[in-house]
Amino acid sequence: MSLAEKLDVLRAAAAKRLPKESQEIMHAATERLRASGILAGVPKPGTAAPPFTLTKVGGNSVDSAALLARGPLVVTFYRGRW
Amino acid sequence: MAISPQIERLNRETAERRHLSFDILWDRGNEVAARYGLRFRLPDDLIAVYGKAGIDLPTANGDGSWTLPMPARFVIDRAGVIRAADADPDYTRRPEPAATVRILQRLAGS
Repeated sequence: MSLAEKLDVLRAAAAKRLPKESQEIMHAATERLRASGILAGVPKPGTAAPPFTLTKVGGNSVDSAALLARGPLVVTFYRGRW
Repeated sequence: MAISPQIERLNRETAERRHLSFDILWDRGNEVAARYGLRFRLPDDLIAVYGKAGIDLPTANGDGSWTLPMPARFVIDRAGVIRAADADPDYTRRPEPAATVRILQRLAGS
C-alpha cells in the first residue's frame, strides 16, 4: 500500500470514530487555513532553507548547517503522536 | 529528521516505540515551523473539539500557544537550498516517501 492509501484508511477510520460535529469543525478549520493563503508563505524549491538549531531526544543540540556539510537533509514537520 | 512541538519525553517515547533511526527534534512553540511558514493557531472551536477528544496540547507541547505546524516535508541540499517542499493544512495528505527517495537519489548522483 502506498502512504496515500494507508492515510485513506486512517482517515476513514477517524470518520467512523469521531462525532460528526467534531469532524465538521475540523474539516472547516482545515479549509479556512487553506483559504487563508498560508501556503504562500512556505519557502519554495530553489530558495534558501531557513537554518535552525534544536535539541534532540537526550538534550544534545542539532544544527542544520553542521548536518548539511555532511549531506542533504530530509526535514519532516509533524504535530505529534496524539 | 523529524521536527515536532512535543516535549522531549513524548518524542522519546515515539522514537523508542517506533525504533526510529532518525532524530526527533523539539521545536518549542513552533518557532522553527514559523520560519518555514508552517505555524498556525487553532481556532477556538477546534480547541474545544480537542478538549472533548482529550487532546491536551499545552501539556503535550509544554507551551500554551495552541499553535501547531502544518505537516510538511522538505529536502535540503548541501548548499542549504530547498529542493522539495510539500506542506498541506490537511494532515491526512502527505507526499509519498518514494518520491522523496527519488529526489535524494538525484542529489546523490549530482
